[in-house]
Amino acid sequence: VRFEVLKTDPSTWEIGPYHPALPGPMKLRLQSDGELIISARYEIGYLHRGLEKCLELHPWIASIAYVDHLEPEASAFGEAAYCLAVEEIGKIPVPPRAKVIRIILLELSRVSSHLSAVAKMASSVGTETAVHYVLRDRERILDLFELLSGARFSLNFMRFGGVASDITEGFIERVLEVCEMVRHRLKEYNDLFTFNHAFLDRTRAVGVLDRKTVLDFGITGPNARASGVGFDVRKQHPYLGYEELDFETPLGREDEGMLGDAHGRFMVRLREIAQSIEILKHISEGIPPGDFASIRVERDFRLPRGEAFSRIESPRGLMGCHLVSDGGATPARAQFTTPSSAVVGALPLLLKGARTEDLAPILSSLDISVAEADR
Amino acid sequence: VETGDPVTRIFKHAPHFILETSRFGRSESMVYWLDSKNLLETSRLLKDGGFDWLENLSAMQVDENLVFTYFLRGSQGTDTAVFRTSIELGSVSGKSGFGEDWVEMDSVASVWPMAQAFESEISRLFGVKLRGVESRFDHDGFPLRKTFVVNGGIQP
Repeated sequence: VRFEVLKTDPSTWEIGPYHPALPGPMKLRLQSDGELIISARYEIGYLHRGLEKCLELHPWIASIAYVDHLEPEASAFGEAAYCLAVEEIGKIPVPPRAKVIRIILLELSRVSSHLSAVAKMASSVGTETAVHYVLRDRERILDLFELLSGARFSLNFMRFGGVASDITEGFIERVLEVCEMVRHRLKEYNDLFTFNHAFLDRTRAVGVLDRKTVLDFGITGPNARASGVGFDVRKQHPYLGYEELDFETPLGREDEGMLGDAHGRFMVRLREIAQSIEILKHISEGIPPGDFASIRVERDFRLPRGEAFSRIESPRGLMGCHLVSDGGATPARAQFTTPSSAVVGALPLLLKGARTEDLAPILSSLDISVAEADR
Repeated sequence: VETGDPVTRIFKHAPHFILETSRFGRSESMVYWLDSKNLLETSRLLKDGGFDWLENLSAMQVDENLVFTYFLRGSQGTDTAVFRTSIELGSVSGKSGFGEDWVEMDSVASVWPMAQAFESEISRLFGVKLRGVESRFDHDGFPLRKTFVVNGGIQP
């Protein structure tokens, strides 16, 4: 029997800037040989809002509303990184009660962001039921944000030296209720699709991010931890009192598949949700009395000359803010380093050799935020 | 600088690479000023000395200079260090085509691959040509320079 071999040239795809498989507005230029991606290039900048320039042009008091937009899905983290830098330059104390309120907000935001990542992952493999279940539960967390700050996104809640207002009556009880609900739901997600054979087939040994690539590109957060790199700012450079909390940093496990694959990243995020729930339950039970802010920031607020670099653990990894004040009415420079920039940088290496049908699960498992990469 | 400080150890045999040291803000960290001409060589020394992770690279215009701050850490442990270098605006002859002077400097992406993302952003937003790297300047002015006025183009 003679088979005829059809010779084909590599084909070129240009995906984006708007496409449902992409994490946000960006362009991917792929070359593929049949179903195999042989090279990948990316272009970002379609969501560049000139955020850092805006901060230089507006008074200090207005800046919280701007840093909210660094990563709209988890806006509290931009606020926290910025406030910590301001507080270091200005030597502004943060009352213990405000620290605890901030941690509650940050951990709720982490759970909300990870649930959103789980929904994206479910959507990329066509598990629509899971998408609806997960987003339904995330709504309960957005309800808590609304109860606390009056907003569901862009909370504009943190202030230099504390938070904008004290917790409302019944807030802690509702946080504990939501914690219990999410704890039960994690089992439901596992039953639905975590160990579903179709989901495993689409995600195991797919998009493997090895330890060397993680270190070379400075990838942090759940993506790095799934590859065995256990860096967590809350442990290595504690802030807001995380050093007093007892929690673990989940790592990828080789017994669940290949270290650093899409399924591993998904599992690490699920385990981090469980860890955040434990942190929330622990600190909500012992919220200290006292003020929710040490100062009241007015329109003519000025910081003394100085600079600071704050680091926090955002849902996607290390977020840093380099802030410089020249003693003026606006920041002289505010610059952010975000975890998604590092992941985007590694995409050409990660996608090379992948199959085209795996593109959507790989991208969703990385949980890239184009908003924070572009700024 | 304390004895046993990792940076002191690294530059024990090449102290001339460090021009000046000062405290970084109110923190315990020190800022080490470098000559931009030695940037690549110094970067290699630092990487070999254990600072294998460029955590952040930040640029800022101060008067007629661009100041670059490199935040480094070791992936094994919690050691961090801050290095800084500056280049005068207009140190490269020729204009960018938009009435502003370029600045040219070495890329450290060959030492720390993660520098690529930071450098590419700095290149386009501050007007920095990186030696050996193809630079694209397809917009009017460099938005993060102090001379750039939003909605008003470039300040005369």
